[in-house]
Amino acid sequence: MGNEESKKRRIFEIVEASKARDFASRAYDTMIVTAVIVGLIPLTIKSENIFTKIIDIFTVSLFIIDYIIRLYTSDFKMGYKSYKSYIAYIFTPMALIDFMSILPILAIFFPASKILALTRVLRVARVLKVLRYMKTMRTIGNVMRRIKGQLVAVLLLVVIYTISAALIMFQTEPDTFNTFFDALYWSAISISTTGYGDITPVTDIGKAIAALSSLIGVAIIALPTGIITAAYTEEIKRQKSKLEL
Amino acid sequence: MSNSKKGTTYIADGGVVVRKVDTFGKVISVLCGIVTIALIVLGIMAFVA
Repeated sequence: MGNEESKKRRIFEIVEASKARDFASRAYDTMIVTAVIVGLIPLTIKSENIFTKIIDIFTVSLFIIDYIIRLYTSDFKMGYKSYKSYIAYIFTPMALIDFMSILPILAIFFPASKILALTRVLRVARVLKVLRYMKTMRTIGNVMRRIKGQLVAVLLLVVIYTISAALIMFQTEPDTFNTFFDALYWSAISISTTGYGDITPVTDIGKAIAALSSLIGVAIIALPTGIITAAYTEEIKRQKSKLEL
Repeated sequence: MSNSKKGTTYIADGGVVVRKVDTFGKVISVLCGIVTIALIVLGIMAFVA
């Protein structure tokens, strides 16, 4: 391995989530996590001041450097030496999150643009950068991959049920709901058991449908929770038995 | 044989154990430490201002 190649590998080891005893990698991880937390401070303050602006520029610059370094060492991450590894890396979920977290830089340089101002909201995506350093995320990721099919089926059922309940209510009580979106909003809020109570059925038939749809809705809404919990428990058991072997 | 301890790597080279200091890692650690402290100070100042 050439000197340059070994240096590149060392850079890769540092920017990746730290292994035990690697102090430089730990220091880098701590810096990025601190940057993520401090980078969120401007979002919690209503009036901007000079320090929030400095934080914005400082953290985004740091994330840009981090993105470039990760892209530069992505051939180690992807496991094969080819220009394709760099392209493949750009489309990995973590790289996309990294990219989203550097987009707000456009709003700093072009503050007048309303569309670009929307990118400031993307600053929240920075929180997701912390996921890289959470070991339990790998377990959750494995669980989600395993039950992907079941989850999609159940979520589709939830969507179909919400739309059906909204359609029935919209036809039953046209005076209560001004638009179909109101009915859809009411349906989602009722079925999820949130129940703001800003829109309520007034006729007896409407109330009966609301009661029935809420009762069935609770059972449907609980399905994904059950599936995820069961799969998560199974994954933990699998990991434990793997450790015992 | 390769064993890392606090930025120092001990590598057996023809039966002789040589000490290899990770200077690059140490420089990065110091830089990251400075940036981390600067970020914390900026965060506190943003709240106070």
